[in-house]
Formats: sequence, C-alpha cells, structure tokens
Amino acid sequence: MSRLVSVAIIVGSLILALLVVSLGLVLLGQQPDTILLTMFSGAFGSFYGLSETLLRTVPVLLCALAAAIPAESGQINIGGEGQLHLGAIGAVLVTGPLMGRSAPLVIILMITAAIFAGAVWAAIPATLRALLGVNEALVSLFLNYVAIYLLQYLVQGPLRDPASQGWPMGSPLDKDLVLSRLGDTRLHLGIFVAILLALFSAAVIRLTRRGTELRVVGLNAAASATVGIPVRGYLFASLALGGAVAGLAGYYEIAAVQHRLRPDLSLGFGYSGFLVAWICRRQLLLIIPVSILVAGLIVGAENLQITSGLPAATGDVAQGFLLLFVLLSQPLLAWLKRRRAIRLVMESELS
Amino acid sequence: MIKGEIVGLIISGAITSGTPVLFATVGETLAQRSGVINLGLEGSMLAGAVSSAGVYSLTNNIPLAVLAGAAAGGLLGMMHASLVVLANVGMLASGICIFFIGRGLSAFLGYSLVGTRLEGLRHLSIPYLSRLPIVGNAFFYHDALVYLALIMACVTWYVVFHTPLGLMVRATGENAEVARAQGVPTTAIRLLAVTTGAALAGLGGAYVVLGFSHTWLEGVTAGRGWVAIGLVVLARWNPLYALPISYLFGGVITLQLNAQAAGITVSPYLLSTLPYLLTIVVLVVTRVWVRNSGFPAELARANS
Repeated sequence: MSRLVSVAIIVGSLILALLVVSLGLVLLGQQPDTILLTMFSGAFGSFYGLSETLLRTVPVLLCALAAAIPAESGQINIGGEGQLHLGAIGAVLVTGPLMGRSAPLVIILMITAAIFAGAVWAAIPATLRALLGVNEALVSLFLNYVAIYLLQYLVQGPLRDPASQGWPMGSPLDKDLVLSRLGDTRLHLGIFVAILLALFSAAVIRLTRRGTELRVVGLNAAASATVGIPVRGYLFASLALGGAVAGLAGYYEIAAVQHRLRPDLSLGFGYSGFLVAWICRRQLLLIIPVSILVAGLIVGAENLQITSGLPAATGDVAQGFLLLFVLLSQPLLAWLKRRRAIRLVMESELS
Repeated sequence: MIKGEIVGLIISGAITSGTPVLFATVGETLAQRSGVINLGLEGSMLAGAVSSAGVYSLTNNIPLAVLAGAAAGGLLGMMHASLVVLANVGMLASGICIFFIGRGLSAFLGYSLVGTRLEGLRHLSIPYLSRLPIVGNAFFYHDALVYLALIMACVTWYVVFHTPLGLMVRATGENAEVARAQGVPTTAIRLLAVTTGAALAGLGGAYVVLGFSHTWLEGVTAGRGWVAIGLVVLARWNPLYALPISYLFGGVITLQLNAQAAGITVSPYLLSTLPYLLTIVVLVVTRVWVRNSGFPAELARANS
C-alpha cells in the first residue's frame, strides 16, 4: 500500500472519529463545535499548547517505537507501559548511590539504567517467545501490572520521600539532574531524540540487510529459518530493543516532566503508543506525525477538562474510534481490491 | 473466637471482592473457548459499571440497573466480535480499541454521577445457614449478585462442557475451519460467545458499583478486567476452576486492605503482583509441559 493511501486512511479515520465524538456530544446535549474547538486550540492553537503537545509526543512516540520495532518481526508488544515504568524506576534507583557525583556522569548513568531496565523488562517476554514460543503479547501485558505495582511499592515504601507528608511519592531529583527546558515551555530536548530515533529506526529497518532480515522474519519465520536467518536472535533483539526505547521514555518523564517518582507516572502512554504503532502498520515513518496527533488529542482533552470540566477521557474515545476506523479500512480496501479484480477478469473475458 | 471472626471476615471479603473478577473471568473464558481473545474486557466492565450506576440513580431499581450493566458490557463485546469475526480485524488491536472506547465513554457519560452515593445491593441472610458461627457470615450472608456469579460460573461450565452448543463453541475455538466443514455456524457461535462473555463482564462492572464501591468513579473497576484475562489462563479455560481462583484473588485484595490486622509483613503491593507472575508461569508451563491445558488452538492466531 502506498504511503499516500495510508495518509488518506488516517486522515479520513480521524475525521470519522471526530464526527462520532461530535455525535455523542450532541446526544448528550453538549455543543460539539465549541468542544472540538477547545480541544484543538488547547493542543495546537497556541505556542504553549503546541509545546505541551510536543511534550506528550515524546513518551507516545517512544512507546509507539517500542511496539513498532518488534511488530516488524511479527511480534506484539503491549508492554510499553510497563517498560516505561521500569525505565523511570531504573533512572531513579541509580541516583541513590551516586549522590553528589558530577551531574553529567549521573545523567549518563540514569539514561543507561533506564534503557537497560526497559530492555530487561521486555527481555522477559522476548526470551520466553524466542526460546519457548510463549505468547509475548500476553506476557508483556501482564508485566505492565507487575511494573505498576512495583512502582507503587517503591513510592509507598523504600523510596518514599519522608518530606512528602501524606502523599506517596519519591524524593525530588537534584536540580542539576533535571533536564533544562526550552524557553518558557515544559518542552525538552527529548523531542528531538525521539524524532531522530524514529527516523533512524525507519532507516535501519528499510535500508540495511539486518532490517530486511528482520522484516523477512516477520513475514515468514519458518521460511527465514530455512535460508539461515537467525530467527530467535531477531525475535529477541527486536523486542528487547523496543523495551529499551520505552525505558528511555520513562527516563524523560522522570528527568524532564515529573522530577520524582509518583504513582501516576504515565497517562497511559504505553497504550497510546501501541495504538499509534498499529495505526501506522507497515508505514514506520508515519509514526512521527500520528504520535503528534495522538499527543494532541491527549493535551486537547486535558485542556477540555480544565476549561469546561468535561473528563479528559474524551480523548480516549477519540483515540479508540481513530484506531477503529483505521482497522476497518483494511477489510474495506481488501474488498474493493477484490471487486476490481473480479471486474477486470469479467471485462477481459467479455472482450 | 476473635481469630475465628477475623477468618470469617476475610473469607467474606474474599468472596465479595472476587465476585466482579469471577464474572469477568467466566465471560472471558467463554469468549476464548470460541477462539477470540477480548482485550476490551476492562472497557466492558467500565461500561457496565457506569450504565448500572446511571440507571440505578435514575430509577432506584436494582434488577433494571443490573440488566443495563450487562447490556452495556455486551454491546461493547458485540462490537469487538463484529470487528474480529465479520470485518476480519486483528483481535488484539480491536480489543485495545474497545478498551479505549469503553474507558473513555464511561468516564464521559459518568462525570455527572461522580460523588453520587448509590445504596445498591443489600446482603441477604440465607435462613438458618447464615446464623452458623463464622461460616455463616463468611458464606451465607452476601448480596444476590454474589450468588448469581457463582451460578453463572456453574451454568457456563455446564453449557461449555455438557451441551451441544458448548461442543460447537469448543470446536470453533479448537479449529474453526474443521468446525465449519462439520456444519458449525462458527461466525454466529463466536458472536454469541464473545457478546455473552462481555455481558458477564458488564455484570461484574455493575457489581463493582452496586455492591462494592457504592459510587461511580472514573476507572472504578481498577484493572479487574485485565486481571480476569490472566485468570482465564490460570483457570485453564474452565469456568469451574475460575471460582476458586477468582475468590483467591479476592482474598489477596482483602488481605491487602487488612494486611496489618492480619499480621502480614509483606508489602501488599508486592502481593498484588502475584496473580500476574503466576499467570506468566502458567503460560510457560502450559506451553512447555502440559499437553492438555485447555488452550483453545485458535487463540494462536492472535498475532495475525
């Protein structure tokens, strides 16, 4: 399928999804035009709104990559949420013993720890899949909950900030470890890293021999094994790499946004990323604009909550229907193709 | 005496907090037996919870509220089943979609209900039995939905394993092509199994607001739908095994809330990870050692 068709499908699905949301709003006696306008202007209408959208794009895009890289080898990683959590935990844990060391060194070790922790979390389903054939989608999904409870345990127990009074949260990061902001916004350099990583992954997967082999594994694992491609190696590496990228997202949430561990570390970025990856199946580069779009839906819905008290979950409905229509476009396209093929055959037989 | 009372209270709490999970686990077992994974279960539970909370606050009628919960959950399940079976969409992606829609819609529809106190279900004393010491309070002093969940688990087990309809469901889940060749209407069977299963999850959601939290909150089901997907594996796709496993899970939650009173020193949060870790272990064991685990073979197609 050409990239143009994919873009058309996504845009069309977005319009349909917003129409469905508007219809729901009308049925509830709300004004859809003002609400959609509030969402849009909140996410894209001002310089600050745009910066917030890009701020949320960082975890969404990284988690989308975490699902998209293993997807090339035919695997499903629903565990981005947990891998992000582990990345955040890893980044915070190394700061303890390194208290007082020079900031650049600690920052480098934080990033390394986050990437490593995310990769280890993904290596669990990756190992089970590559060696034993256990379903990686389910294992990675269940590990999300283990990770979330692990974070709860840490902020309620061993890592709890004594100064936090009644609130369960970790101690704040040292000021030197907090990433600097761009101008007056909350945005940080992570957005460039995320976009570069997406471009780099797309290039490796499309242009290199290893990337091609990875895709061949995804298309037909049995056949690739017979031509000597190390199938297990690719399965393991792609899923573990995905986890590493999600772990990096956890680092940025800690170092640039939250500055400490909290129970509500993620706004469901792992799931949103999974959704983005699925929308952009086989069109890896589209993941950048679609991540920005989905982050815009998240920020727009937050804005809606602030200005009109409607729940931010309005964004969830829009995201759900967006994916729904993209998914539905596939059988529709297949049906159109089949009809055209039949017509061509009939015409050639008639003539 | 005091010790006995505490044990009674913990068993009673285990049954209460295990009930919504039991509804959902039995529902998901039914769906997966027909060869369809429904990751939208949490969405169905939330839809069920918000609908029954809404209907109850409008009408004060419990049966109507419970029905509304089942209907809302079933509706989302039907959506999932139609996507997977009729439109041939990948079942994991479709499930995540349904989860987003259910979570979002429930939060949106329920925002005017937040904070409303719902009287909900009352406990029923079963004559004579509920007056027994310890056991009486533990087993025979619950509300109607607790018993309904128990009955539904048994009925589902009977239908799946001992009726022609159940045979068709299992055949569809084992190998849909062969089943179709034998004349089983696999499409209809899957639509039915997934929709009914999601309706059961909706009942679980209704129970959360009517028998448990007594109020609607955004995300009130707190991930019980996801738990259920794990428990299905633990229960080896058998609704009857889902009974002890769900109550055991409820027991863990109850202990978590009363950890100190029960003299437990392990962190309740670490305790909460156990069901998930155990599920992973079971997935591995099932894959490697057990020949007849109950795993419906059609589920292996989830990745396509």
